[in-house]
Amino acid sequence: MYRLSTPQEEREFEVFIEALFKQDNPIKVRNELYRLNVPAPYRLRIKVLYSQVSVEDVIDSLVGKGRLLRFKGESRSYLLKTMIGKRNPVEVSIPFYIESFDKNGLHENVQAIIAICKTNQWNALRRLSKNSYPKLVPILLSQAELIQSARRLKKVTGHSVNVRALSAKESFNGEKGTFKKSVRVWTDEELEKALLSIQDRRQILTSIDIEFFHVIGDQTHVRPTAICKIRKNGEIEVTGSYKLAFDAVATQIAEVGASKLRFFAGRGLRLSQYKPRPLAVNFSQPVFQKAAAIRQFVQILSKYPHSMHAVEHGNPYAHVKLTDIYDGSSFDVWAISPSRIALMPGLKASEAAFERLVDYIFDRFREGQIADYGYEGKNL
Amino acid sequence: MVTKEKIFRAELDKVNDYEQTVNAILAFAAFVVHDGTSQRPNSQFGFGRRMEISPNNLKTPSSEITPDLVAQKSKRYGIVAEAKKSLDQNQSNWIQHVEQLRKYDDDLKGWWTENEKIDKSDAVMLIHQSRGRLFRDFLENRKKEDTDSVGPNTSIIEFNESPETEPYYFFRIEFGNIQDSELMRNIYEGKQVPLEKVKISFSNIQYYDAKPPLPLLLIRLWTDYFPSKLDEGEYDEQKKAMKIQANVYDVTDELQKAFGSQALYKDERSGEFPKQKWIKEAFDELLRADAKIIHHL
Repeated sequence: MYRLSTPQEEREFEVFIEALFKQDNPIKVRNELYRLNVPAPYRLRIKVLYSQVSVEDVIDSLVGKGRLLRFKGESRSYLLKTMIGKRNPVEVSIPFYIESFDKNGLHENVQAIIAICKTNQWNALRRLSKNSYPKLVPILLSQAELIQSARRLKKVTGHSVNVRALSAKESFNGEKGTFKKSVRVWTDEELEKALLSIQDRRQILTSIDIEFFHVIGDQTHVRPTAICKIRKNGEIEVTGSYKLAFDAVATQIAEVGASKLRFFAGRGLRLSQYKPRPLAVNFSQPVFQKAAAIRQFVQILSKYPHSMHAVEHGNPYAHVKLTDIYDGSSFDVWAISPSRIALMPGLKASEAAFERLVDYIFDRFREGQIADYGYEGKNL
Repeated sequence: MVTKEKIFRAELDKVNDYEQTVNAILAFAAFVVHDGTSQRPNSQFGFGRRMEISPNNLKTPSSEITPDLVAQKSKRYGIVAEAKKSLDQNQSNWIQHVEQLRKYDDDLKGWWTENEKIDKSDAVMLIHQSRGRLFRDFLENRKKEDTDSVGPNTSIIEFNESPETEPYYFFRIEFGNIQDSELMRNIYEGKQVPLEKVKISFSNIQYYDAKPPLPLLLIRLWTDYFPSKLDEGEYDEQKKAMKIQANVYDVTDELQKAFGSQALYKDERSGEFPKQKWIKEAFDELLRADAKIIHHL
C-alpha cells in the first residue's frame, strides 16, 4: 500500500475520485470501485444507514438546501461542499455514492454511503447523516451482533479471518469505584481466539479490524485480500478489496440492521392501533437483585442524551418515563423482574428511538437479549 | 414550613398512590378472572362499569352505580369492588365508603350474562394494608350500631405492594367472606399476584374510573402526547417553539384508546376514563403555566 506524499498528489487524487463517482452509470461506478487501490491517507469508507422510506430520498431532500448537489446521470452520486477545520477552516468537496443491497433482497430503506476520503472529510459526511437523524438512522450494532457478524464473515467469504486490532472499553477498579477505560489492542489472532480473549477480559468492543486471507486448500495467502475496520455504528473502513468488504461485511451489517429495525418498527401505540407491543431486554443472569443496581439503572436513564425523563419509581423497582427529543417518541421503562427490563412504547415510538435507547442501555448498563415482552415473546 | 420539596414529595406520593391503586385493581381483577394458566370461561372485568341497583336497595333504589371494579368469575359469580389506597384522617368521612359498599351489596344488573343478572355476588372494599384493620374496626362498629348498615355479602380485602426482589401485590381477606369457595380459600391464606404479570397482561392501562392526580395527566401530555404530535407542528421562529394543535376531545379519545377505558373490553355499560373534564383541567393548568413546547433541534 502506497501513500500520497504531497498536497499536489492529494488534490489530483481527489479530482480523480470525483470523476469516478461522477460517472453516469452505477455499474461503472461499482466496477471502478472494485478495481481501485486507495492510497493512504485516504480510505474507502462505507456507512450503512436506515430510513423509513429510502436513504436516497432523504439525501435527495437535502440537495439544494445547503452545499449538497447531485451529479447528473443514473448514478446515485453526490458532492458535499463544506468547511472543515476550526482554526483554519478549509473548503472541501467530498464526492460520495449511495449503494443499495437490492441483490440481497433488502428494501431501499437500508442503503450505504460510500466515500473515498480522509478522516476529517469523512467526519463532515458523518455530520451530514447525523444532522438528518432521525430521517437517516445509523445501524447500531450490539456487541453480540458485532461478534456474530464477524463469525459469519468466515463462512460467507470462505476466507481465513484474523483479528488485526480492536478498540474496546474495559472496566477497572479504582480507589473511588469502578471505571471504564478505552483500549486499543493490536493482535494477529485467529478470530475465535480473539473473541475468547474479548470475553475473558469482559471488553466492550467499539470496533474490530478484521483481515481476510484468501485460502486455497490448506494454503493461506500471506497478504490479506482486504482489511475491514468494522465499527459498532455500522461504519466500515476498507483497505483492499471493496467487493469483499461490500458483499460480505456491509451486506451483513445491513441485514442485521434491517432485521433489528423491522423488529422495533410499528410498536408505538398510535401505529399499532393501540394494541401494546412492548419489548423486553432479557439478561441471562439476574442483575436487579440489589437496590444499588436499580439505582444505578435509574441514574443511567436519567442521563440519557436528548431526552426528557420522569422517575416515578426508583426503589424497589424502577419505572422511568423517557421522551426522545429527536422525534417525540416516548417510553415507560420498567425494571421489575431481576433479569429483565421492559420497554413500553408510548403513543409514538419510532424504530430509530427504540434502537437508540436499546443501544444506550447496552452501552451504559449491560447487554441483553431483545424480545417481545411477554410469557413466550419472540426473540429478535 | 412548607417547602417546594415537601410539595413535590406530596404530589409524587399522590401519583404513586394512584398508580398502585390501578395496579392493585388490575392484579385483583386478574385473580378473579384468571385461573393461573388461562382466562376462565365466561369471565370478564371492567372499571367504572355502570351497574343498576335493584328496586329493593336500601340506599338508593333503582339508581346506577359505577364501582371501581366489576369482575365476573363465571356466569354465576362476580365481585364488585371499590379500591382505596388511602383514607381520610378524619374517620367520620369514612361513613360514605360504608354507604357506598351497602349500595353495592345488592342484586345488581349489568353482568356479562344473558339477562345481565348473576346468581351470587360480593361487594368488596379493596383497601391498602395500612388502613385495612382500622376500616374493619370502623365497619364492625357501624354494624353493631345498625345491622342494616353493612350488607350480608360485604367484605374487606386488604392489599399491599410487596417490595421483594420480584415485587408482587398481596391480597388477604380482613372482614366477611367471599361466597366463591375457590377464591375464598386463596384470599383467606393470602394471594400473591406478581407485578410483572400485571404489566405483561395490561402494560398500557394507566387509569381507572377515579380522577388521577393532575401531575400524572400533565406528565402524560408533556412527555408523550405533545411530543408525539411534533411532526404535525409548525416551527414558530418568533417564539422559538413548535406550534402544535390539540383539543380536549381528541386527546381524551386517544388517551382512552391507549391507556384507559377503550383499551379494555368495551360495551354500552363500560365506564369512560380518563374523562374529558379531567383533560380539560389539565389543559387549563398548562394554560395557566403559559406552556410552550420547545423543539430541540
